[in-house]
Amino acid sequence: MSSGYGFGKKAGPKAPAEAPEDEGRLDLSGITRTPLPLDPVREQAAIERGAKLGFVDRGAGEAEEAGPVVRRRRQPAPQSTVYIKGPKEILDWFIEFSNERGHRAYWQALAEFRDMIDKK
Amino acid sequence: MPAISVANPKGGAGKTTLTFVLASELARSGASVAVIDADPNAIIAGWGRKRTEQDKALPFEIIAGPKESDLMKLVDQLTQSHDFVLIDLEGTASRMTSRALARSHLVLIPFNLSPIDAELAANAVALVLEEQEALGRRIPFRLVRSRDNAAIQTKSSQRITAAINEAELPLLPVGLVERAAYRDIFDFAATLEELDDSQTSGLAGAKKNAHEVARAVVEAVQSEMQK
Repeated sequence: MSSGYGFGKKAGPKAPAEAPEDEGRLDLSGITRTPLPLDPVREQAAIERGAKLGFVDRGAGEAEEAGPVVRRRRQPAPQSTVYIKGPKEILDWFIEFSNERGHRAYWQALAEFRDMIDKK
Repeated sequence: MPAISVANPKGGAGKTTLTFVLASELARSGASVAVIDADPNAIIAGWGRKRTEQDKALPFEIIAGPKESDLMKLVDQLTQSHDFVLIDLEGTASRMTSRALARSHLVLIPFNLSPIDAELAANAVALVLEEQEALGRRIPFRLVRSRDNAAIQTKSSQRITAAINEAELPLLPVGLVERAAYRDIFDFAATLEELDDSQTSGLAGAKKNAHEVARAVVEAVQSEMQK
């Protein structure tokens, strides 16, 4: 069964009865331009009630003032390639070491070695 | 006057389509209409921009992307200069929504007949009820079925409708029906009247539905003004 979908039973205005079909134009009679008075203190209280329901400041419409978002692509350092041929045992150890250290590239393991040497 | 907010903290609930349909129908009936497009997707504003580029007239005024701090002043100004002010709000639970509701003569809460949509629409109803308590006056509202299926009512949609009736919440008697024309108006930067029968299926049905929805909203406004 449905949980009621969050629609709690509270009093509200009834929907109006359907009117007969008009001739393509809406009957706009009785609609006047009466301003809606709003007490700023009560309005603030209403906003605070909304905040408690999760209707909070999302910076709506403020993005333009902050300026357009600028995406910068990071400039990579100059690249080079090293091809290493050597004893299988040493290279297997190096690969294993790199994997264990969580390096995604072998040069990161070399960078770690450099840091170790620089610290000495 | 009046200011009508179209609110639901869920995106894709049909707020923009409802706002657009209402604005078009009111303008077609001779009312001066201003639409405040407060939705970051700015679909109505984009529609207006495309029309301007194509040298097509705008049937209603469009004010795009207001800052929250400016919204109140804007609503106050426009309600004095236009017959209707419609506010298409963003699909998140934002303070902008709270502010707009406090200034609205009527709040429309469109929702798809799905459990998730219904629960978020209930959140919007809760906001209305909380705000009216704080303001010390009623904020009239109507739930509006969106992307309604004219032919079939699924079991979940029947359960949701029953839950709304059981809670005695006001449901607009007419829902916005799923129609290709409601997508094509944005695709072609057109009004329903400008769409071509040969390019858009079910156009006559969409026009009829748009008119009935707008009429039901106007009747709701008239009914609330008599209270």
